Amino acid sequence: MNVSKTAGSSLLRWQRPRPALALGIAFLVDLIALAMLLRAGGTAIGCAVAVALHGGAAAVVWGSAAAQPGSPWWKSGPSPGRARSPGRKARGGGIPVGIATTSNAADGVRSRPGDVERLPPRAAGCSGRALAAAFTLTLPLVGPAVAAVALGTRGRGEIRRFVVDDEIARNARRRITFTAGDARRLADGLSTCEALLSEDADERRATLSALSRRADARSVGVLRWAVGGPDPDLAIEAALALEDLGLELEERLAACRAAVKETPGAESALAAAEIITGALAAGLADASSAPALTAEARRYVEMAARHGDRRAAQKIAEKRARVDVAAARSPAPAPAPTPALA
Amino acid sequence: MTAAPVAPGAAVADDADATAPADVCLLVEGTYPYVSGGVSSWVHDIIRGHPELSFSVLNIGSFPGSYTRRPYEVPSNVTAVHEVYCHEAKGAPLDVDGRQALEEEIVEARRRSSERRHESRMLSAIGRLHLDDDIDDDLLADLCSGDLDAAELLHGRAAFELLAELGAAVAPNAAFLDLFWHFRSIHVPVLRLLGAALPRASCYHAVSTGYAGLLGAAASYRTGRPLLLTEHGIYARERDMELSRADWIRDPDSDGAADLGIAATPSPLRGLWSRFFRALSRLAYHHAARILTLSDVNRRKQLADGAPAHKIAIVPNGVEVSAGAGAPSNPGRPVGATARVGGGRLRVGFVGRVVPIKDVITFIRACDLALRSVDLDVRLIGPQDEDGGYAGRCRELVASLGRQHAIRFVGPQPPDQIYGDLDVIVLTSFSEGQPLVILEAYAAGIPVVVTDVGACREMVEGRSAADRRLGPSGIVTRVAAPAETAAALVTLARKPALRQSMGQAGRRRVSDFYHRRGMLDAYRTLYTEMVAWPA
Repeated sequence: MNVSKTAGSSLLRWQRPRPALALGIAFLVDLIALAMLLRAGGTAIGCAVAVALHGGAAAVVWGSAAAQPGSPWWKSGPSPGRARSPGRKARGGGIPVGIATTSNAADGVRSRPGDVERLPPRAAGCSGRALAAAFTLTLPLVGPAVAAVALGTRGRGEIRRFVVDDEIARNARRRITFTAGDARRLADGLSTCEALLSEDADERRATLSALSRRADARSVGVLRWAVGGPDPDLAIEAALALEDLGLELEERLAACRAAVKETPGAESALAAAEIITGALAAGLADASSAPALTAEARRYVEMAARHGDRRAAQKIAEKRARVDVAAARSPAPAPAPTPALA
Repeated sequence: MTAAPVAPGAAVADDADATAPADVCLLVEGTYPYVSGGVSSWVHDIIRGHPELSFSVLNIGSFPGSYTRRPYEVPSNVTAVHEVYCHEAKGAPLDVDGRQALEEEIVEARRRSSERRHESRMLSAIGRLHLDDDIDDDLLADLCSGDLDAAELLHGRAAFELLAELGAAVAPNAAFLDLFWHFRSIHVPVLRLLGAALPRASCYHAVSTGYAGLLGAAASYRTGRPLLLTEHGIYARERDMELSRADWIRDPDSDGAADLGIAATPSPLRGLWSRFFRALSRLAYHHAARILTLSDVNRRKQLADGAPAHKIAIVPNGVEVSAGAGAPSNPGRPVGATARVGGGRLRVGFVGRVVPIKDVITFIRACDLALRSVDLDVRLIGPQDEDGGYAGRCRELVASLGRQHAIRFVGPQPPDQIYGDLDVIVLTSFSEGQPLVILEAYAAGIPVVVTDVGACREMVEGRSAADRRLGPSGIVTRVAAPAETAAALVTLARKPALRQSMGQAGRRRVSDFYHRRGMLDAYRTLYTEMVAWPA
């Protein structure tokens, strides 16, 4: 996850560490150790006990640092829930560049898309703990106090991140592939339709090839436009590309049908329904085959509902909705043909 | 006929030099006599139509064992059928000895390459095929020099340097490994074919450009005998169509580009293949004494691809017309008559192989649409075994539409039994040259509904002014447009008079412009000229 810090008003800001009790104990232990050392006057036992106590004080500081804000018993910093400001950027001029999804918000509570979430303070890192312990060990008496100051010092402000919907986050992760080459093509390149009508055979070939590898609505739409377009050679090539896509769909569908037959269950039925709804949504099914495919997808969804358990209920409901949407968008049945002009 | 190796790394040809020279050596690529279809039928007809000439046939196949049957019975005036292959048969994995022998072969190839005092002429010519637009006699002479074998092409330093030069010049963005394998796939077949022993003949007749045209040009160069070139479909354009759909060439970043709504970056490797095939076409055009094509549409494409205008002639396909013009081939049935069966159903026929290029799916969908308005008796007549998966898909579509009673798959039938029982012929192909089925339908007085591909439009609407005066002999639709085809069928079903007039126009058209006798006479004249060509 991409997390960065927002800009703060000062370069360094000290936050008062709350576990004063722990640090106070460390200070007292260290004080006792020092007193014993002075009173013992060089006896071996006294020195040993004093050193042990001194080490114990360092251990207390180390433990305090390890349990920095974020742990249940370190009551420091604002609650993440209270810090949210839905639908707008964080206050204080910070730019929330980090991204969280609704399902992995910091406090385990589902956030709403658009929230700006302030991350809880994190425990001190390994180097922070070592530094605090070193202060305690090397500076008799004042070591714990210096360690407390070191632990309480923060950087340029707290970390915030923008909460987005899971689906958007998935798409963003999938599609963020904008390269310098893409930028150059955006500036210099032709649109897909222009490229299809280009005089440059290489450009035309590559565009057709790219479209024919994608079975989404946009590619199918462009190919159908090319079939009905003014260039007869292009029309043939686009028709062949659509034929390839149709063939590929048939093959995938046949495999799914076989899987449903072999192992009837919610998973196989939903997979088959997904193939069909994808094809309907992409416009690969024409008016004559769309009703039959829609009915088949509905059968698979109902089969999934019969076989699925409670956990699959949401998936099944989603799939049912997708089938309905795809059916509504699929081409209307063609009217009975009227005579053509001879 | 058994195949025997000719030379290491070369193609396989059988007894090429053993047979007496034929008058005409026909060079075909993956067709006659092993694959049925338009070109094969045409070759068969040409051979049968010239019994006074002897023919040999050289078929260029992909790899040994790719043909298992001969659908055609070879006529008696064929002296030999030769086979050459672009690739060698897939062998067993190499054992220790085999690997050692291969390593020695590679070392030897490298040694030959490093000791070569002059650059290989063949290698230089291969470079020119990609880098130069000029095609001349020297290029063919260099290609035919035979001073390079496959091992040296694959392992020699000079070949590697050419590969690097090609990469920098025409494929700068391609991954080098991809470029290497494509370079290898493009040129190894060329070396194998050019290394094959070619049959002797008085003239050579290539029935396409591409590899057949290359071999025809090479044979013509080596023997000094003329080359006749006939193109049914335009080879380089057909390969371009295949390259557009080829999933074995991946365009860089094309997915991301499409997300951004801009055109994909073309893979230079598609261009590499395309330029290679175009260079082969230009080489054949340059060296052919005569270039023949079927239609004016094709002639224009050949001119655009660099064929010299003075060499091109149009010789359309032809079919036998049984009686004089205007008379039906089936005397019991009037021309374009509204003969009906089963309560006035229009009898619609699809005649051809059930394969994707014929777009039978669109035909079935069109019939389904038309059946909502008129009553049809639809028959798909032709073999279904060439692409069993596609044929199965078509049958499933018919079943899913619930039209089994109206749309039937009847399999192949003898030509004389097909047309007497049909009212309309429909052809929904993605690609055609000059379909014989249209001419056969015309000869039987049957109108057609055809897609606007190849020469179909000029066959329906007329090529010359005199031809156009006959009127349309059918209806032309766009490709992959079932609604248009359905509308045409409804028109012809509801207007028997129109059907009759179109049938008569077709009958006159085939008699005047597409008579088999005319086609055979044209080729007889050409063959006579070629056979008598001065040495």
